[in-house]
Amino acid sequence: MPLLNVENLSVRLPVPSGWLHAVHEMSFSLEQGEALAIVGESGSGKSMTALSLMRLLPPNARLTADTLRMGQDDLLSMPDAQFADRVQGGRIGMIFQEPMTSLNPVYTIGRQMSEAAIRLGRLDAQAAHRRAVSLLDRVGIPEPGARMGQYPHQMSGGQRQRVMIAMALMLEPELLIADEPTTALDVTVQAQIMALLAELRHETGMAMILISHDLAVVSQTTDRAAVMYCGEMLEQGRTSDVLARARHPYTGALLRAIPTIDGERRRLAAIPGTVEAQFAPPEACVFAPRCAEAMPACMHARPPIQGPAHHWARCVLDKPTPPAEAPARALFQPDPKTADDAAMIEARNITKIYHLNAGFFSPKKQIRAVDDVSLMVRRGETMALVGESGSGKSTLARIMLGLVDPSSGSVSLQGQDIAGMPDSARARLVQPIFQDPYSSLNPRRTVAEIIARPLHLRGVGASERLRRAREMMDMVGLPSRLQHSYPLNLSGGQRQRIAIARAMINNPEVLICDEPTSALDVSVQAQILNLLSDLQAEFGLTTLIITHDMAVVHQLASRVAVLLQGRLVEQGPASRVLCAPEDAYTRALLQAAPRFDTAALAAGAGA
Amino acid sequence: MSRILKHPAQSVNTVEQLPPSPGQLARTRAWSHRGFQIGTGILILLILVAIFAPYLAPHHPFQQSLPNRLLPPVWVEGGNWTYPLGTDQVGRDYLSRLIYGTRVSITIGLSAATIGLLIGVTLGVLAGYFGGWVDHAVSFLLTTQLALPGLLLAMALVFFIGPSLIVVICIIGVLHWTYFLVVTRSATQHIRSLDFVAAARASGASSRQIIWHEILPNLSSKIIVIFTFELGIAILAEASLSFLGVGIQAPTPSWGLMIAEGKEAIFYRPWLVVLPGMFLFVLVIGANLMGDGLRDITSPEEKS
Repeated sequence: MPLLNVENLSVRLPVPSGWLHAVHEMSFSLEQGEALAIVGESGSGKSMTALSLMRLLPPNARLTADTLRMGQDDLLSMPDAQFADRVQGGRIGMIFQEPMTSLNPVYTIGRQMSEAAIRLGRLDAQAAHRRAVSLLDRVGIPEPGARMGQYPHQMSGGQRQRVMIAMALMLEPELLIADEPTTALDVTVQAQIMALLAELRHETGMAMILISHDLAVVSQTTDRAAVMYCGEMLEQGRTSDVLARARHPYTGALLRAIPTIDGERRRLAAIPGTVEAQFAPPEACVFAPRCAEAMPACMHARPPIQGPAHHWARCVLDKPTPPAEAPARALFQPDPKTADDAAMIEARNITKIYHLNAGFFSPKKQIRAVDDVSLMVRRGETMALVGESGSGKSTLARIMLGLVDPSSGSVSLQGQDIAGMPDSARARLVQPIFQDPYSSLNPRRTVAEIIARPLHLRGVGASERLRRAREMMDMVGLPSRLQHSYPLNLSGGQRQRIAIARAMINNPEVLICDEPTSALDVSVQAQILNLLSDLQAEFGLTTLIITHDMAVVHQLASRVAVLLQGRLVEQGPASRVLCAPEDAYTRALLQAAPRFDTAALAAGAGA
Repeated sequence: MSRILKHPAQSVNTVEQLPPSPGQLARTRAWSHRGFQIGTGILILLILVAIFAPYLAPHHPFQQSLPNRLLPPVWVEGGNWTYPLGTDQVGRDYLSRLIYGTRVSITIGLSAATIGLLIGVTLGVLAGYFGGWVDHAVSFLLTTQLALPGLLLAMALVFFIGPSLIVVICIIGVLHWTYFLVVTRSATQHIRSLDFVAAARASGASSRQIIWHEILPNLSSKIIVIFTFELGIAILAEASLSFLGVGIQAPTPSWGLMIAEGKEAIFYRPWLVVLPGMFLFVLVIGANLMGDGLRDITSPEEKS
């Protein structure tokens, strides 16, 4: 008997314009000790699936299912009180995406860890305390005894996620649901957490459902994978099969859209369009509007499930799509000859010190966000600035944009000091693209107004502004019918295109992109990375890309600088730094980056 | 550029209808918000009453008729239809005085709340945007204002300057800006930290341009909501001052003054106090319902 058996699970949510079909007739089962990955982009319904298993859906959501059983227990008919006592936490544990907000800030770690076990009468206070300490030790928290009396704010994000994992293990659940457990964490920490989860699973024999948007993370840690799109499960099978011999065109497209960290650079095969919300039960293939292999049959009926039980897909095509192949067009590579030696933008000995004053009478604290960094980007070159959170990379970006004054040091643009430059002159030379497309656009302005704002500031007339805004929208691939809509209604990818259009309307020489794709889905990330490299080819832009993702570096950059705690630890050509890093930290970063082990996958699939 | 035009993302799905704008969404919510409709209805009705007072009032509000002093309303024994709501101590028609009183209340409410808005929003945006010593100075001003007993100060000021409509408006306005300041200051601090402000600065926008173009439009819905609440508070403040004799002076018909004049007879002729009290209550409830409704409509995520 499987540990968990789900048949035809559907979840609907009421929205102003009707019912949103978040999950539609989804079926899967899970054996004891097995790890299942549910993979999908945002809006695919993967988190809703997890929440419905834990009865944590929003109160007005409607859940229907033919079967929802855990072992002998029917979870559908179980009353809430019994469910809370027996299943929630006890048989199914859950860890969430955001460790910074999933612990209660006013209670100690110890109290939060032992609370459930004591309340359910599983352990007495002393036994619970002992178990909590040993679990904290197991998940790699140093000095676990002392930590029990601490509060969440005294710990880092990675440590909090470890505490969450230990907390989920307190009641020895048979199933652990991990909803994007490492998305909010740095790469090096992410690798540690995933390794910890795998170890714990082998030790305790618990089953796991890992929800993720990251196929590389999934490939290393799960036995089976299910691919979701728009609430529909499109493909399911052994992880190695799904990744190496994808049956569904969506899985194949997703795999081709991911930049890799090694191998030859190629233009990413972006999936056109965006994920659309489903306001009716699907009567056609949900992926058909974006599918390269769509045919009339896809539009007329929901495709059948095809393929053997251990690897099936919901597609009219009954054949494995070929593994990732190089698309026809080669990627634009800046010609080393055109990249002349003249520095386009140069930071000299930049130091930025922030003063924290805790109060009137306490001594002032100093934080060195950036410490004596010198950086030079040549004309036409793409430089990547790599670092984890807290490394000072965003501060450095803002200093180079002239938005923040450095404590000491100077920035020069084409040999001119940026500090003495008028704002309007600087705006024509250097433009930013920010990480979060949800906060980088004014919600009260229309798309055309946002894009043309820099021209408005220069006193360009209204009709000319509109004409140029349309031109820019065209250039970044935004349909012109969107010119009067508000950012509220647009997807993350569309918003990032608007931000790029606003920067490009200035005709800048330098683009400084601060994590331009880290808030976006994989397929959209590919669109944006391609767009950036197209613009570079077209206009000979000089680009500084700030990122934590080594694959993005490999995809775009010709030179790399690595920042650790405000200091540059390594700088050099991308080919050299990615293959033969000199600094220990760079090596650690590269090692931790999740990647597909294609050879092993192929071997596994063949076996 | 032609190469970029053929970008695959060009072929995005075609949805013919534009999704609704924020304004349209708010209008849709307004249509289904009962409290907002009732509040707005009351307010519009009373504003119309104030504008057309000369046509609605059966008598002149100052016209005395000593033989008809202290007549009760029609539904009480001894009342008659010439004076539907009775008369006061000097025989003036109570209904006419109540109708003209609407003018005083609404004029003072709107003007005083506007003065409060100008002071509070200006200080709040400046403090939130510039921070540093500007913020310290404004915060000091705020704590000082909050530490002062408002009504007492208003009484003292009116006493020294001398009562008149303008003086009462200015004093109430100058004492009711703290709520505007607190809300706009924290909202500005938040908006200022968002990337679109940084993008505007990177495009060479000055602080003035950023405040007008990027920040104020995002504050407008909050400001309107506070305005309606402050409208109710200012109306009550005027009534309190008039009741205490340092607001609107006789014979101008003000509801607060009418309550004060009627209080000597409260046990024998309760309508003298109850009727203006009810008008006051309905007007303030109307303003608050509208404010509550506006808050739900403009920022549904903050609904509590």
